[in-house]
Amino acid sequence: MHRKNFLQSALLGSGVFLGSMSGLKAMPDGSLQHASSNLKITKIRYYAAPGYNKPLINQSRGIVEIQTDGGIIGIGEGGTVDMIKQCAQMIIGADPFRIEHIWQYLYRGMFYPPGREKLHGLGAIEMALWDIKGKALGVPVYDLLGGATRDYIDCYKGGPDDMDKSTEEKTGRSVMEAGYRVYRIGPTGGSNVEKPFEPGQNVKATIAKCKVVSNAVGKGNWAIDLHTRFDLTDAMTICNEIEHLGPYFVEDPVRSENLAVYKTVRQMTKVPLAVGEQFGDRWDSNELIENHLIDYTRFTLPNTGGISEFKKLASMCETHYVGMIPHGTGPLSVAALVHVLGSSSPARCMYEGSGISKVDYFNGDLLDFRKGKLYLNPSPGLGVNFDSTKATFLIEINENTKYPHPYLKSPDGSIHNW
Amino acid sequence: MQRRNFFQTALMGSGAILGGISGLKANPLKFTQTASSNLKIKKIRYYAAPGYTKPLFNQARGIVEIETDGGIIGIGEGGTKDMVEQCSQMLIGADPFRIEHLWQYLYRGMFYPPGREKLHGLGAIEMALWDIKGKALNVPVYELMGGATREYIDCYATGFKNSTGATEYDRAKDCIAAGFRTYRTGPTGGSGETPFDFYDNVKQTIEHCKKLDAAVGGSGNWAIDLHTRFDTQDGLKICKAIENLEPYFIEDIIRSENPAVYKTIRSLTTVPIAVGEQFGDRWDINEMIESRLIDYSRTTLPNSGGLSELKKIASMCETHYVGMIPHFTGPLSTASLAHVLGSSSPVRCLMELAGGEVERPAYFNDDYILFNKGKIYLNPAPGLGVKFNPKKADLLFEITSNTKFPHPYLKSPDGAIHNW
Repeated sequence: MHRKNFLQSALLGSGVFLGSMSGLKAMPDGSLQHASSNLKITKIRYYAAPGYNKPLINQSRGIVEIQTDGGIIGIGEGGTVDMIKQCAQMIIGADPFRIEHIWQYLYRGMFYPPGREKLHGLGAIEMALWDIKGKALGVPVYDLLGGATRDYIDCYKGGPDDMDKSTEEKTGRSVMEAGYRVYRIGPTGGSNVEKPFEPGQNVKATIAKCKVVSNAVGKGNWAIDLHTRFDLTDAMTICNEIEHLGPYFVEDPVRSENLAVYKTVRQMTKVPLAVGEQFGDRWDSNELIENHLIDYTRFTLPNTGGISEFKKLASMCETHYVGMIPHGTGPLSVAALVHVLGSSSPARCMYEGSGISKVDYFNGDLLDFRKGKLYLNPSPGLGVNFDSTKATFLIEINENTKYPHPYLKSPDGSIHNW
Repeated sequence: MQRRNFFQTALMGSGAILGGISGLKANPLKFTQTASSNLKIKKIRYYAAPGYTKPLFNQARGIVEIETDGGIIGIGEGGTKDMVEQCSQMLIGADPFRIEHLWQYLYRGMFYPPGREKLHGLGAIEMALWDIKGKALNVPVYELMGGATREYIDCYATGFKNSTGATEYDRAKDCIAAGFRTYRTGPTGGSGETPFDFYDNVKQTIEHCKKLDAAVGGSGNWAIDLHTRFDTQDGLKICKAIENLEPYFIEDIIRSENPAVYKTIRSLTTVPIAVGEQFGDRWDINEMIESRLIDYSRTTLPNSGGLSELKKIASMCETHYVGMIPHFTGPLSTASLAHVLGSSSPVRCLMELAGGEVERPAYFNDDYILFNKGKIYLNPAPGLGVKFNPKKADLLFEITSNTKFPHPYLKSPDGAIHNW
């Protein structure tokens, strides 16, 4: 059956499909909720990603499987066992189509706003809900997010494994020849924890490295992640020395806890600033965007708490002419980022090429990556198939917590603060 | 066929269905695009709403029909003939699923950013694209915007026709008893022939608010639109005098062109402030929200430029704990607002019904809005859930080909729309 015919025939049958909708129905938590799909979440399973043993929670790549009574299974990525478990035990029986509502319920439920770890798990679960909805409706997730706004996402790269990395010049040229938009380097002094980091020496060495790279690949074709490695004045010395070398962006010149410091940074240098790799929710970055203290955001999936949250941030970025260059996390999150960036409108969007690794528990073509670009994947949902027999099963949740967690509703049925 | 079964079988068939997607193809707009639906926009028609003669652009209610080659027709509301025509002549042959992309193309194309009038027409067209997509996917539009976050949207009544009460205070009591969240009044001195006296009307408006608050029992059961009728000092006199009462909101204390004046107002009164009825695009209101100068946004459809744009504003409102109380425009826009607010998360959302009743134009189906006891419920029918009978409206024009004018716009290498 051709998709075109499907859409044409769907119109004819639509009255019949919707005729069975009941409007309001009782949910397991005792609330009334608006029926959207007549699907229910029945089971949530969580798997460890084999071969991945980094202990970084904000880079975690466990796989969530959300099963519905209709047989549709959605997948998400991120979180930890504890975080996923708490979230999963609040949504058995819920209608998976009510993504934003469920998100609010998980975010505001339990009273204390999630920190970055729980938000990571929440983001993994929300990702799986989008996958379910896309699969149920037979469309890619980007079509549920406004439709495609671009054909592909440009990527940047540090240093591909299969390229000549004997010198910075050769690596940079190899990256550009491979079709990447930008060759990204890091500061000097980062490879050996045994060797003390000497700021003054590394300021000089890093500036020298930038000159070599800029000469090799040209202005605008390179970027540097200072990786929060320097103090304010050292970082400003580097920024001012490399400004004329035309970096695409300079990432994390200083640490990320104190956002107000960027008011100072912004007055001291004109280099394009990228910040946010370490951020969690929307309120970590909104003031940086709204005051245009940065040029590119680096927050990512599932760290923001999910696709909807990322989309909300994209609205702010577009409003304030800020670009989006999400940090690389797990392979499924990269697939999800393509759906979000591919349906959003900030002028400059780019992805960090480092997450484009193939794993055998996902289908080999989960990402349509060609010549340094990630093309939109038109398969339903996130477009990724998960083979659970190749992952390590951890938990399955099939009933809600008995703990009467605190949350309130507004008279109109929406989630309210406790 | 049960809806539930539909979703179950949809999964099984999805591989086959998607097999027909070609990935990239050239389209008549001469930019390559990622195919989303294999549908194409074929014709765009524009109709006048019979019986509606108000010349207010920002309340315009002409009906746009966008027809696709698959037979699906989407409807939108707003704009004027010239504005809808310019937008339409840029869209023939385009994939209607690429809503955001088409919006950017229309907004940035022609180089000059749309003013409020063109944005109104653009919003009507974008509304129709959402309707097409919902119908094609057989889901209500709120499902395409994150899914339902609430069962219904509370309403307030601007005047209450369904009452025989002798005074406005009696009618306000009847309004609350009928289930409306709030009864909204206006300032005194609104008839055109009588000269407007600031001092007299400040006193009278304050007196009116006190009586109304007593009649409905405070508790946010009333609100007042000062309608930009006063100057800063007069507006503040009223606000200060009614701070100890319990209005839900005070709207448009002063004129709307200079949002920065609300920095002054905010420091001088604690009443809940609602602003935005007169606004157009996102940049009219973002600083008021971000600086928390207001409590409620009054931006609406199609004035903001469409559903996506209002959704973006909703993100900002939620971020800054600002509520959304969109201004009422036409009936189809009211139906659309329910999809946007019903899938968004600002805590306080209200919709406005003029006269306290739903309009029933003959050219829309009777049950196009699910209204009961002062609340508008989410409409689960596909698309916007509204059926349009073009025979009961007046056809103005039909567009079947794109403009020959090489309008200025650029693309990024990745295919996204770029500024000229």
